[in-house]
Amino acid sequence: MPLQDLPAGHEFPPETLTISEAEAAAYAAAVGDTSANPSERVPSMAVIAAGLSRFIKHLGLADGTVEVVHASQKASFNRPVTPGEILEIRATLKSNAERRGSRFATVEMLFVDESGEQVASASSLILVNAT
Amino acid sequence: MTSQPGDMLDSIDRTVTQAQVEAYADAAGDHNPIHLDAEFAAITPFGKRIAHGMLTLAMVSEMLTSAYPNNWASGGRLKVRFRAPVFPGETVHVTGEVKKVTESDGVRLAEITLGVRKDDGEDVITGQAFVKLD
Repeated sequence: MPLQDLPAGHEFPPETLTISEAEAAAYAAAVGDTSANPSERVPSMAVIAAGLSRFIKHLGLADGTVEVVHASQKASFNRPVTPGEILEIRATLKSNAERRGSRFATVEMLFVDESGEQVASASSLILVNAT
Repeated sequence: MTSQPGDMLDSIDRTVTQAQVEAYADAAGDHNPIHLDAEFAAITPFGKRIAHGMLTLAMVSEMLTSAYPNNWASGGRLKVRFRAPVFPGETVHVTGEVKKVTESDGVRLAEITLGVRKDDGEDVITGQAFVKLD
């Protein structure tokens, strides 16, 4: 469903997220982080980035029909994530409003492990303009 | 551990390249054309391709991980605003300064002022991080 049709409070279907050692290493290399140890820990922000990318794609915001700008970000980390660990992303559209021709949307994501423990959370404010 | 008000975290200076942006797009799964497609980016207000905000934020997290190897990943949190885009070819300077340390129930918590700036002084990211010290 397009972003403009989703009400604030909309809960997205849960998603599974697993970041392999190779993916963690690719992320560390891409951001230039030579101090990361991706065989033992996924870089903290990689988890948030992977989740956000998923929802930008799901909302149809990655197809070149709109301009998407990341306006602000909150993140919190409860414990490190190990490569290959299976997480569930529980995402909610916390706000969705149009102001002066631009759409402002906040997506909140909770990252939960297989035992149900929350390992990280994030809140992303994105600004969407028609091109 | 960097734990006194006024302490500076080890900063990071890094030049962002288009190749890095493309590698990041693959690694993070974010292929938004504003980062990758020069023709598309040309019709946006930015006029050219920009780096992912999360790529720059990754450098902030890297700095915090180096300063607090265990406590950043276990109990750390941040809130930031993206103030300006980073264009490939630009160098960013990532800094953190302990603003204050508070104590509650025997746990000391550092508030760190975060900054990412370009060579010309323009702010890219501003915000705060909070890390337990014990």
